[in-house]
Amino acid sequence: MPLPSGFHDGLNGRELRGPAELCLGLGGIGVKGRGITGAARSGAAGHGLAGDFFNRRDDLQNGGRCAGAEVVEKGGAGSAELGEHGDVRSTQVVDMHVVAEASAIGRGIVITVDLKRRADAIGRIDREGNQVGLGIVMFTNGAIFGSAGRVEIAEGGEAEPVGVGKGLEDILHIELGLAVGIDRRLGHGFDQRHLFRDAVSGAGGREHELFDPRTDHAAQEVKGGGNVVEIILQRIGYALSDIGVGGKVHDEFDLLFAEDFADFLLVAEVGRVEGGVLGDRGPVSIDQVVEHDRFVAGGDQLTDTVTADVTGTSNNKNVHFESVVLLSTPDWLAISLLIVMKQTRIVITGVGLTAPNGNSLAEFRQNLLAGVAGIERMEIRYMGSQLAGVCHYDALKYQKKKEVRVGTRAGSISIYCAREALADSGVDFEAMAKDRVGIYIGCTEHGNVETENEIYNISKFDYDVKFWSHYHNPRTVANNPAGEASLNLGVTGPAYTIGAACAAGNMGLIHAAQMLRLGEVDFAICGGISESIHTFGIFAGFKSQNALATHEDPLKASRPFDTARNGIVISEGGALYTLERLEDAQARGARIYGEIGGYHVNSDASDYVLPNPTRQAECIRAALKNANLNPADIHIVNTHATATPLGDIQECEAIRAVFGEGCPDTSINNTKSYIGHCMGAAGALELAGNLPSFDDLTVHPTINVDNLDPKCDLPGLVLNQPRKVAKVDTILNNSFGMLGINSTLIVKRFVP
Amino acid sequence: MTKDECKQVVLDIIADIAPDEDLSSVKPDVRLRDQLELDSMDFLDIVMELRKQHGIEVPEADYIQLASLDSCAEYLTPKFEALGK
Repeated sequence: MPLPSGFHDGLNGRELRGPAELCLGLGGIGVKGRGITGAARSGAAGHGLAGDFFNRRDDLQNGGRCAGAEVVEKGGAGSAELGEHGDVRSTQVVDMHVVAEASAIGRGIVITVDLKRRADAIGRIDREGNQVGLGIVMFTNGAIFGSAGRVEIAEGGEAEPVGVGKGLEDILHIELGLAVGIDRRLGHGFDQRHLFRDAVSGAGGREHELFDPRTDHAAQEVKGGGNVVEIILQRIGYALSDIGVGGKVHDEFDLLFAEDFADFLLVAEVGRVEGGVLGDRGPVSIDQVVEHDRFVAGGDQLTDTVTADVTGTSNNKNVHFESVVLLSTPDWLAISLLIVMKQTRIVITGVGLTAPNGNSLAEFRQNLLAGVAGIERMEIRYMGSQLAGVCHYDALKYQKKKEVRVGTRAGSISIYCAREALADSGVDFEAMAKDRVGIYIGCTEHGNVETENEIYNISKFDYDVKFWSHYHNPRTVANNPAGEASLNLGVTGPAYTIGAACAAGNMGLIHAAQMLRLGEVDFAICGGISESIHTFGIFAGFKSQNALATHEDPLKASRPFDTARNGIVISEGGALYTLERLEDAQARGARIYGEIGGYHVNSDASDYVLPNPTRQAECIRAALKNANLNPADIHIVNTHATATPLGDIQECEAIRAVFGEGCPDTSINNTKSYIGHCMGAAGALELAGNLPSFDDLTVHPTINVDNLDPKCDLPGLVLNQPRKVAKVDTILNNSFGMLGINSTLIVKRFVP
Repeated sequence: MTKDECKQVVLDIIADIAPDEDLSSVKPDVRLRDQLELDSMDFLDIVMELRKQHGIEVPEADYIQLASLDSCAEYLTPKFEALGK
């Protein structure tokens, strides 16, 4: 059955993008004997969803099937069952377990009886046969993961990220399966609305609530009146001010309904809002419906057309209406809202670290401000005395001697930093659900130390492998640092490492933020560590690349941006943070160091070892966009710069491209001049060194720049002496690694 | 090598493997696992150290002989002697 053309344009003919189509699983909303069978649609759009939207009147009267209900393959786009007798059914939209059930009792006897029979079978109907007008509306978007549970993307659907932002990490607390029905019988005008039905959300949403709106409505009265959208939002816990994209909210939409309509079905689809601009709108006039839809009675005109203006300012840039579809009957109004992700805010609540020049944040920061580096000489197997950043934390503070002996240095550093971070966070770890804690640690490499040691060991026994340690495997698996931490802490949640070369330190935090937003864990211990100085291979590798620094004075050996720089100083170290969702941190009164503002990770795809300034600049810009910031908004840029002759120049090109002009408040520094290159810990430690700037409004310098390389000259570069500044609200942290991985993490001052 | 000397060799190895433990009151006739925190990986360590430091091989089937200091001495002393120690 063809649909009214307006309807086609508005909803049906148009391909609804999104992993699961917007679905009006309005089934069998019976009004005056008419039923609406909702055919759910998802995934592949373009089929006549709504062609099947309405039941034929004659079919209904004859108890026939809903002609239109198109059955969509379950597991494909979801399933819709044919409407019998205009009955509604469980229209399972997609495999997202958002079930649209509409069971309605129409006033027609045939329908009532049939529905009642069916409804009894599912136990959801008032057995007295009271008329309960139900409006059930579903909306789905496979990219949404509700915090109440998981949503699976329908097969055949596309996981198109919806809304502002990037995808998974933007997907958050969404109320799925919202059903709102508003009984207009109980009030005229928009100021009396009563919500009386919840849909079942298989993703953990609420159960059906049955009540007779004629008697129970008072209890359900929604505050505030106003427009329908506000009411719905209230119902699901949002305020209008939560909605909006980039500050401009959803535009107006039309509600169409008729007072005296005998029967009808009308959908006015508002259209999609993207980037704050309202997309196509498809209000359907009753004329069209009359014209095309046979069971719309009478040709009555819609008399009330109300434009509800939901414009408002948003205090949350990351939520907007994907689309709104309105279905109206004389008795109730159902509204479907596709609400798009609200981005959970993630905050840093604790720091634990060990650096070559400090074993606590306070000590580290003090030395950064005082220009005190931490490089020394160390005997390296086969290579004699080499420069290295060595940490001197007390391993026995949190480990027994046996644990230090059995485990790895990387594991020891991880345990130290994790414990310190937990203590710093003030969280009651004993009481915490350990299966809801995640440990995500970035590392450049792992296993080299153990393997080199073992080969050296068996070389003394003529390479007889019976002398090979039984500890080799658990010591060398890549997750060893995180695993040892989980053992020490009793964490039964996920614990693993993320390999990202020298970008790994940022990756720990980035991954943790993602996992918190997905609801995988409730508390994350994350960051990066390095034990790299205990290998010889890494030293030898850099030396063979002509990238290993030499200098008479170890404290002056790491010289990013200086003309006399000659390579990398390898260091060990670690920085682990406790990361939490803002609401959790606030609930326990945590001290907040800063908020994750945004990030990006990309790849050069150009060279095995040489960095690519274009891709680096892309990464920085994408992170800025993700954080909704401009370059001029960044107050501290911590550069990666490792003091290789070429690498420093390449990075400065990238930084210059982004921050080179019009950024008077942007200071640029580097931490490797103090602590060398802490490999997997670098990004994490370097961020930590800058975090106290939020409080003391001082930017630590990069030291050892006696003669600035002109090619590394950047506006805002802070050299040799710390700089007091008027404001520090944002820190942008770059870490770039071999095989061209780039990561940029932005941390901002926490403002409630 | 006397049995007492053998027990001391084993204790010295255990001192490396379990450096947090107080070995002064270890009873020679009680299972080591019941007195000290030693797991199966630690016993492999004992076997490895015997191999590395003293050239003594303990096949897997004989691990059970290392259960207590007394049984270690019973089992290992002949092996030391066979190596001329």
